[in-house]
Amino acid sequence: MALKEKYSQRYKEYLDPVSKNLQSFLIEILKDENRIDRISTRAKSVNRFLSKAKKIENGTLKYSDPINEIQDQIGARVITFYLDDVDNIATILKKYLAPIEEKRIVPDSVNEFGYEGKHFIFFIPTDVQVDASNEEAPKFFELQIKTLYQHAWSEANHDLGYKPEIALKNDEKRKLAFTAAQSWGADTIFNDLNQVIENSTN
Amino acid sequence: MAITKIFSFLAVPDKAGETEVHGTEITGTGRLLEMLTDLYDRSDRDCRIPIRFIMSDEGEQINIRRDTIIDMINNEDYESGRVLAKALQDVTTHRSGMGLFFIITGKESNRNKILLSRFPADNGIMAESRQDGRIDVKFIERVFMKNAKSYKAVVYEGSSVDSHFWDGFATDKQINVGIRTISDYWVKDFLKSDFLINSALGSKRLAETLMKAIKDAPDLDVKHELVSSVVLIRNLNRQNISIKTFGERLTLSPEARGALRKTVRNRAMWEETFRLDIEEFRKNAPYKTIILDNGSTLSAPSHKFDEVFTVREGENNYSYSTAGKVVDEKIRRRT
Repeated sequence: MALKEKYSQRYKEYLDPVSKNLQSFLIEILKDENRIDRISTRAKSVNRFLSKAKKIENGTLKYSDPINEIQDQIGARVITFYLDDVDNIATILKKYLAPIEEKRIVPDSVNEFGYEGKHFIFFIPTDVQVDASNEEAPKFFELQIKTLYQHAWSEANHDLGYKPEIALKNDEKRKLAFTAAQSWGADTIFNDLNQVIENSTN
Repeated sequence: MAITKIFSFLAVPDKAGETEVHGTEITGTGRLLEMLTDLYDRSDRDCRIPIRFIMSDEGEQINIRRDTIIDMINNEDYESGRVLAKALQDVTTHRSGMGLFFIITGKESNRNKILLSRFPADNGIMAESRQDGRIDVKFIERVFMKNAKSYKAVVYEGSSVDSHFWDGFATDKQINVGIRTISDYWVKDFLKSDFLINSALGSKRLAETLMKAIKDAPDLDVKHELVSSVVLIRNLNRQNISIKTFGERLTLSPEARGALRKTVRNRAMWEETFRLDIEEFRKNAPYKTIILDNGSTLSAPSHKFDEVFTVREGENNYSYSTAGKVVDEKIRRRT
């Protein structure tokens, strides 16, 4: 079966219903956390999957077996208010879910501003699977925890900065970096203010 | 899936890592091969505890034991098997004892399977009939027996060597032994793994299953039995259980176990093993039960107990009262 047909079938029969179940599952385990703006999940669309499957890295295809190798066929995102909430939520999620990867993504240099966030690759819990005995079903999902500003920046950056048909000029790239710096600043200040308020009420 | 290679190694206690590992490839035909083929064919039924490799301390998708197992699947040679056997020997203590380690690999179309199995060493007595009507009785050292209490195995199966083989199924009859060096020997120390489901998730799932089973149970006795199990479960704290073995460990009646099974969505959730965390369980199954010395028992969900029962304190006793519609037919007959 061609990759497109295979993934389309998987999307319909497994990924889409599991991603919906996963959202309810995550909402339930994080129900006591007050500073969560939203919890969203999605099954990677057929077009986005095919586009990722064709990705070239160092002159060759990045994925030799995309149906098995691409681990974010189901993705989840938890959006928090403040920076300190990211680690608190990560701790709760690790209590209930089993990770095979955990990383904090930050710009390469202290002089740079850009994409930031905490990423996990977790096993999909049996609780949300539609057919637990399906050996071919993917076993993992990707979860990102971001603050409101990190989320807002990455969405706009993805929309503006990744158009293959239009190459951004250096000045335009600097504008994107400037918005990232402003997001970083807003996150830092809101977090500091929240700490001040929490310390004064404790 | 057809067997492609079988290797066997002797793993002796050697935490210092100083002893060489000796082994052999098993080929040909005969009773030993028949027994190992049977072991391999039955492994899906024998190994029922879902486990997973843990990520590296740096949070990367790296696990040194998974890497050695993948080398074995890819190479299917004596050297890769020896490395795996050495890893087992390096965590083997005098308490875990000597073992005979088998590695059985299989392939079919694009799928791979690997079974690792450890037979513990024991002493035995052999008796043989002689022609003169007497018997010869001999003491034998180093008998390796599958049926011994410390037999262990794990099976992994998948089609993509790079992407799959992050989880498998184990059997370990010593997983609930109180001594850490024994209970952790196979899954944690050798396989660098843990249960597929975390303690908190398993405990939460059990609590929710029990609460729903109590609510839905049509029979008053079953309801009562399940409520009692919410109290008795504290004795199983930090034990490795599944929802299925929870019922067995507390010797619940077949009806009560049936009520639990009916509540669980699928067989995997029924059988998945986890370490019970009593705090997490109580958070999700808050049930208050008071037993009075006149033989009566009062039970209600914790958050509703003070709402549904009114208590009056006397000089030497307490009076409880409650009012409501009788909603269960059997309750009505009994009252």
